[in-house]
Amino acid sequence: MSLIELSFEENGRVLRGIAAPTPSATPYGNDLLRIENFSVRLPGRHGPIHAVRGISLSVRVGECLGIVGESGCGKSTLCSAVLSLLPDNAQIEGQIHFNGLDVQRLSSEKLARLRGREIAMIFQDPMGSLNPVRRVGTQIADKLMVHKGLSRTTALAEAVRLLDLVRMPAARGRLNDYPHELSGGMCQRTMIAMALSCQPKLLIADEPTTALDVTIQAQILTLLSDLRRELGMAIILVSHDLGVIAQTSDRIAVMYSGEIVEEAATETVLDRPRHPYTRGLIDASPDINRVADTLVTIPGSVASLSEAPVGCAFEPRCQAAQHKCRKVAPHRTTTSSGAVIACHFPLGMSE
Amino acid sequence: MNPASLLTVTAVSRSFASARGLFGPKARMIKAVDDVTFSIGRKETLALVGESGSGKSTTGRIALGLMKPTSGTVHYENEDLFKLGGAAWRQSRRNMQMIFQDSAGALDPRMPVGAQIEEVLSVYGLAGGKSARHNRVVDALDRVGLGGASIEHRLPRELSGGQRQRIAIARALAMQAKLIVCDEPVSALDVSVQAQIVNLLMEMQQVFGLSYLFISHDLRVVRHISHRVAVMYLGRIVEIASTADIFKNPHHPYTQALLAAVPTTRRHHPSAGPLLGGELQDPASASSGCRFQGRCPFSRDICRWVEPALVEVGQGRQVACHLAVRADTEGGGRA
Repeated sequence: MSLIELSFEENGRVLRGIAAPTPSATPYGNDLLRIENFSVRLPGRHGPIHAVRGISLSVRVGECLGIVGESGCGKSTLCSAVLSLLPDNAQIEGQIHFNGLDVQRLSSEKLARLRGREIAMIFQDPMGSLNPVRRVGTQIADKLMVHKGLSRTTALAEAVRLLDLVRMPAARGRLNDYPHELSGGMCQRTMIAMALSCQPKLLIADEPTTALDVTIQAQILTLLSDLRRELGMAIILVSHDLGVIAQTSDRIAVMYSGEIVEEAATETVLDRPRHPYTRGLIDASPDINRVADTLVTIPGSVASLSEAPVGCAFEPRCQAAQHKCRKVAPHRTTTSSGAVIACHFPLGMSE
Repeated sequence: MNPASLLTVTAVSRSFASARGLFGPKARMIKAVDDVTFSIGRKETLALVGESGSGKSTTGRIALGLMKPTSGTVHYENEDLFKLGGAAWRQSRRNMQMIFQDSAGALDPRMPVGAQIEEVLSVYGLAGGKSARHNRVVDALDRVGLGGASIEHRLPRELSGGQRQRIAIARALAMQAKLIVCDEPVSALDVSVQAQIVNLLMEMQQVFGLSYLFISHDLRVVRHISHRVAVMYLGRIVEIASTADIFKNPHHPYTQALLAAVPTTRRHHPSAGPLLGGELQDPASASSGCRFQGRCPFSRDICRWVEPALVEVGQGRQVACHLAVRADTEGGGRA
């Protein structure tokens, strides 16, 4: 399809970018991002690592999707794939469509426009994502000058507005600071300001609060929720912390060993988890409102991502595993409540 | 000083000189820990919570005698730790062990893990001969759930994070430690593994009667594992009470804010208090009055000028807040 360069004003803000004819509806109805049967194999020292295994997922316009999973389950690889940031030697199957565009087939020029402008990303380590020897204001202004063609003076003025938007204390005075002069929370605010500078339709936040203190974490999560409402952008929030995901997301996708094992509305996942792994994750997370004598644990540790097993990847750790689980990999099925699960014997189904 | 307690930390302070450039201004003194007092009983877990930079880890190191305080004393089994010398010092050190967040950094990367534990035993001359030492290592590994397999011959990098943390616990057990300072022991672990380690620590406490000083920023884990909680803010303890009291009825506004900020899987949690604005200020720029005053939603005039002392406001509960104390004497807690 042909791209339309858009530049229009909405609520006093000039919006510009490549867009489908109507900004709210995309060629896929309400799906802003659609990932179909996507797999990634990365070369490893001991054979290929099958980091993402046949994932299908979609993100609607303005929605917050939470992806939860333990380390090494493929969360970050999936995020990198959306921005087409995987290394050249990665073997990729399946498709990713953003706003009707096949991300993998875009020319590097169009891709550069997509990254940062349409889709923005923030990372766990904000300190490491900022250039340590350049002033914060300059770094934000650079992006505005490249993507929006602003002059340096207007870009710096816009940088102040953005820093205000992310509730940076004394925003104007911060322009001349270097990243090391900011706290972790302020660095993350700067990253968010940069991410928002081009009014992206999708913000990918990969463990955005993991390195922050709990009170600052709460501030950043509230900020993300507020901004999402104000700007109408969709968010993919990746975290290992179910609590963080629960408070922010509309929908949750639970990843295990490169697959999505359960996906449903937040309340459904938390109140009626169907997959034994989801159940285990919820029980193993200590809750501030619940005291138990011993925490329920999931025996063993996270499965390796080298070649996929014949049966269900969670089978070795699953309490409810049966013979079939070892032999046949479960397919994704959609339940009556709209939840998607990949399990032969989902919990609570006999009732 | 309570004679029944295993470890008593009394009025401990520790200052550091801030880094200065060659031609920079004179180095300023930063009080990382300021007049901290607490004690830990036998078989008890005291949690030390607070944000990064609040002085938790420094307090933990001083409690172990790994760092000398600028002022104040640490008594272990009624002996002043910093006045002990020679054999008595070694004996005390053996009884006090530490588990770190970074389990990989706490182990020698080139030595099989079993040999590492044996080495510590031989350094302290424990468990007689070589075979007795080996037996004790096997026994300790068995206790932490790493028995059977040939784990003892492996190098740290061949183990997962959870397994390495188990090795650290086994090492403390083999030393027959009585007190273990755990500095963020589960922060780097995945949720499912974190639960295993928390359970293991609690089980070992039951079996061997261990005491823990549990340093953590994760209040969810703290609620689960500890008997008492001390909340630190900018080097001072602002509230100390039993775990049930702290979580059910936090008195200090900072404790309330910390609890409110904890992400929970239940969307409407009852403890929801005010969300805290601002950030931990620079400890070097400490002004008069309450340290929390700049971020406190209830701050009054008095808070700006007078630093509140840590005072007893109920059974085993101490708070350093003008408002909390007043509310308590007027009957009923604040919350």
